[in-house]
Amino acid sequence: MQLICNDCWGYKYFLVDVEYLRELKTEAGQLVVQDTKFEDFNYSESMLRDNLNDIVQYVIKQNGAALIWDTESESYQNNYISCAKCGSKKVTKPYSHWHSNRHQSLDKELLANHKEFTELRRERKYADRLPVLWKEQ
Amino acid sequence: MQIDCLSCGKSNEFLLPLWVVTTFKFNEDDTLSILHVKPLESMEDKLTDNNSLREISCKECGSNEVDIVFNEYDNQDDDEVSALEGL
Repeated sequence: MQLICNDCWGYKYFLVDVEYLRELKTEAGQLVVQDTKFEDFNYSESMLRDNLNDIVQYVIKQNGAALIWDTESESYQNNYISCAKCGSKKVTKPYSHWHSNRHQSLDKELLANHKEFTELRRERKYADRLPVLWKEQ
Repeated sequence: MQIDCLSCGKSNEFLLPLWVVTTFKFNEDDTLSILHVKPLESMEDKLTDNNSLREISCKECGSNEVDIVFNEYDNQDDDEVSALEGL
């Protein structure tokens, strides 16, 4: 398993935008569109496969760098690859730190941890003082 | 229709990059298989759009200076037209 969709948990079928090369030729005033070949080597096919492989390997290797923060859905979305089953862009590596369902925005995270932080500051403020159990005479 | 390379003037073959959306799958051995390829851009729009003309390059010399004539009979002289009509 290389990639996983965080919405439908599909890990097999994906979509990606790739650049492809076509050859244009005019014959008797007609436009002919075909794969481009250099000495029987089909460069169009090769370019498509190479570009697809490059993008997939880049996403697998970089993971976090291939993700962008989407403010509407408040989740990380893959900039290059989407799920072919549900169309979701929440595609990451499995067991990723960037798992979109586990993420929360900084504001929400600060708010959720506010109480804990207040307790921490209180502890730090009185940390060097012993509790006074009785009044000194 | 006629496409001319303004740089070498010889080639009749030109290259045009197009974006396509590719559906692929991971195989058991982690290799990739392509299931479907769908164009994202219209080739007709790219050929008629002046900004996209720079993306077309000559296969022979690689130059982007390309001239596209959609109807080569538009620029004919009156004499040529009347000669053709006479035929």
